[in-house]
Amino acid sequence: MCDDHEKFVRRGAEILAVGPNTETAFEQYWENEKIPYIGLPDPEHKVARLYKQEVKIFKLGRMPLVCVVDRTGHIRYVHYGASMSDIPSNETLFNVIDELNATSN
Amino acid sequence: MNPTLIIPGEPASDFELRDTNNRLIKLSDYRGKPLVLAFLRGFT
Repeated sequence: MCDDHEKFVRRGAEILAVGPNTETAFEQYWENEKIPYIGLPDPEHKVARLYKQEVKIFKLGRMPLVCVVDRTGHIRYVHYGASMSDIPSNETLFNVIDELNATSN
Repeated sequence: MNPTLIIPGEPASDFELRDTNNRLIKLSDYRGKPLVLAFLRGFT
């Protein structure tokens, strides 16, 4: 998402990234990697639980989860990753956002 | 799909967390624009 951040911005979309690391680890990572969108440390997993991010012990931890929320605050797209690398492409997310923009939702 | 997981069409549950600049971020503050909510697996 970093490389294509400008394409999200052009579509009027915001990105929030929630992760299980501590505040300090997040700050360092965000600074080192120069990540342009908002990073939200959730070390107690409160929001991860709220959104039912899956944890698979035998796959060594948390599975990726990506949602797209529309202008009215409704979830319009959800992808629960089946593996660590199972995340939707940016093109998939652009298509969802473009559809929302076309319908003003 | 597991019936306990969230599904499209549901209202997104509001939450608040502090970002890497210690700003309080609420999901509901982003009403009015499309929002990508990415849950990371964590980094080392």
